[in-house]
Amino acid sequence: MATSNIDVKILAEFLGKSAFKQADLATKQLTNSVKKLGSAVGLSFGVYGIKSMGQAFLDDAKAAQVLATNLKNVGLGFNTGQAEAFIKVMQDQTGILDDQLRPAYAQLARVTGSVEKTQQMLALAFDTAAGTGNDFSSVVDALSQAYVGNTKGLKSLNTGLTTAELSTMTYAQIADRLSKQFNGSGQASLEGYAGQFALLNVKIADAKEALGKSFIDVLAAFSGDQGVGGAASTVEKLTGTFAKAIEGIALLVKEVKIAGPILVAAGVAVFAAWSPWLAGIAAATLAIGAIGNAMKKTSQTPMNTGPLWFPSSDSSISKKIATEKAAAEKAAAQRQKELAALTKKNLKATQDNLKLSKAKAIFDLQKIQIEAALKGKISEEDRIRLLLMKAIEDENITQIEKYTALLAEAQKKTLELTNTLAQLRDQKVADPFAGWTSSAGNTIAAINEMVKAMFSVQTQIQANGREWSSFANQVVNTKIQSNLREWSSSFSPSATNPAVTNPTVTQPPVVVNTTVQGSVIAQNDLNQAINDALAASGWAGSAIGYNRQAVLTAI
Amino acid sequence: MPVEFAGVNELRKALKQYAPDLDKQLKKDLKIATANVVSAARGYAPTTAPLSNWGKGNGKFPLYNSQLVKNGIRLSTARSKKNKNGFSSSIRIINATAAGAIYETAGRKNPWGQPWVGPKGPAGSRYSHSPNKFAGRDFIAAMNGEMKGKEKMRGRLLYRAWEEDQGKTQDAVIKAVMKTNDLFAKKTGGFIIGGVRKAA
Repeated sequence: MATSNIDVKILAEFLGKSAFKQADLATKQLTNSVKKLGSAVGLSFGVYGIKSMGQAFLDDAKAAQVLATNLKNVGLGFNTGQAEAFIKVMQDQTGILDDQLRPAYAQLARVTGSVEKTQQMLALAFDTAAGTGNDFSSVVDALSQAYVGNTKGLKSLNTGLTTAELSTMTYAQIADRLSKQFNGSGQASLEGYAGQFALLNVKIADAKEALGKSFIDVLAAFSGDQGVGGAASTVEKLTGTFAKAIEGIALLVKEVKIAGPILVAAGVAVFAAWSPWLAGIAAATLAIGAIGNAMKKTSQTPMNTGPLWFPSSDSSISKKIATEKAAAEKAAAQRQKELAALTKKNLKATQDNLKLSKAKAIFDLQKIQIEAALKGKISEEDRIRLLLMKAIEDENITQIEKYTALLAEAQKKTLELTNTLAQLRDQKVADPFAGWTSSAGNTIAAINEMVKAMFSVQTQIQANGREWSSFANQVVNTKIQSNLREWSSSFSPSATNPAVTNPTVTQPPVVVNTTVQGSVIAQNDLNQAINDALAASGWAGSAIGYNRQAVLTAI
Repeated sequence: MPVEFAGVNELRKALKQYAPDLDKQLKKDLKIATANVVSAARGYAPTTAPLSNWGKGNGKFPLYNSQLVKNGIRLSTARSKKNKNGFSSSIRIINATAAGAIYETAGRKNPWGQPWVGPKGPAGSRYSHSPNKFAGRDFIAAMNGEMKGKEKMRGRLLYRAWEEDQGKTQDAVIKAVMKTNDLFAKKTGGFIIGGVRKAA
């Protein structure tokens, strides 16, 4: 059954808000935590800080060692000291930590093989990074790739150089352009708060490393013969011991409620009681440290941290270094030449590929034309030729062989046909109608006879077979046309016309007189009248002998 | 408005633990003290559904059953959940059923029914989605019962009875609680609890 919240509260009690309770609980927990923290924070921070500083120094030393190895591997081992000095100076001037500078230096040295170019590229990378807003490592990557001809990274940095420019410019030209474009950007970036903070960060990191080194030295001294390795072990042991102590204190505070205030009170009392002693110890530490440093100064050659660092003023070593440097620079120059040649070669290869692509495009066009031609009305041989061309375009050897064979056969047959036709042309073909005059009857004579027969009635049937006309005193001359299928007869008046000279019918012409009564309206009526007249004439017993001329005369 | 007392819950806990007989007696006294209001409220509940179809069907709308509604109006001595202001009530009269609550409060906020938006109108329980534009108005009109009380304590059943009671029940309840408190204090010598007292 559903329930409602309709009710009348008669007695109510304030139990407090949840938030109050939570806040109260949190406050209590915080109080406890602070109490615990108060007893432990100094110790833990101290241990953590010392460990962190020691770790920073160890990391720094490791990075320096890696750089030295890298430089040595690329033939720039002589440059290790100078590289460290350069990195130190650059770190102080740019605010970029040596943690970033060392890998960058090693990377550029690997690519260029030259100390000078490496340092120039680092400076350029700093300005470019500040100018473009990219991080230093990315710019170093892009520059190192650009040095070997891969400008893709530079394009992604949005330096303002177009793709066409990047693909056609050499590294020297690109570096020159970037140098002009971003000149002073790095320095400008250090003038703001962020820049100053970066510089401060560098100082803090340096201090951390320096303190860490001191701490490691102290531990190493305490560790005896084991040296720095023993120091690491000592740090580990100390850390573990401190951690256990802190855990023990925390447990005590947790389990015994009264322990917290007692510990705090005891801590305050101890600090108050020992503060003069602590001050004395601190002063003694400083004094002992000063004595140690004084001893160190007298026993060691001061380190030159300037931009150019040489381990000794020994002339032989200097000469050796100078020789190695010259050799390295020479090798770097050679490498750069080789790179330039390689770039040029690559460019040519690219252009060749471009040409090849264009040529292929033409081939494609040709393919289209072949396909279009194949769809048209062509001879069998042309079809084979087109198919062969298509096979050649497709570089299909099987098809090429097939159509080549077919084409050869077709050509052979064509040749045979040509020869046959030539032979036929040379042969004399007799006139198939030559014997017509004697054998098949004289066609012309037969036609003339037929015409003569027609003459006997003096009638000519028109070609349409429906009309007729009468004529007389005509000579018929019939000719067979050259196509041997048609003939024509021409007529001319002649006294020798047998039909005229010897007419078979010698009856005198019948004259029919037709009187037209009324008006002649139409030709048909007239024809009918004439026919009626002729019929009447026949019915009267007169012979029917008439011709068109006579009728017309009568009319 | 409820009267704020301190120590009631503490007393109830102590009674259950140390004087169950007194706890039982307190419940009896509270039942007697609230009987008038409960009885009156039950009497205001209609014996048949105000709308004939409200008592039928299997729809989602809570079915009106007069007996269930009447039985749902009763005294509760269970400690309520703490509200957002941090208050908890241990003695109250409730109208527990959904149908009873509907009859109690229908038209309290919108005397002419909820704003009508129709079946295709914007979703939400604040609008009437009935095809009949006047469904809400007609439903409220069919309730018939008189609404009494103030603001959120205004209704046709429990709130009406409580309003008409004019605080007599509340006094009786307080009297019963204080009596039990005194008895318990006398019995235990006042060492168990600090005692029930009116909050400052």
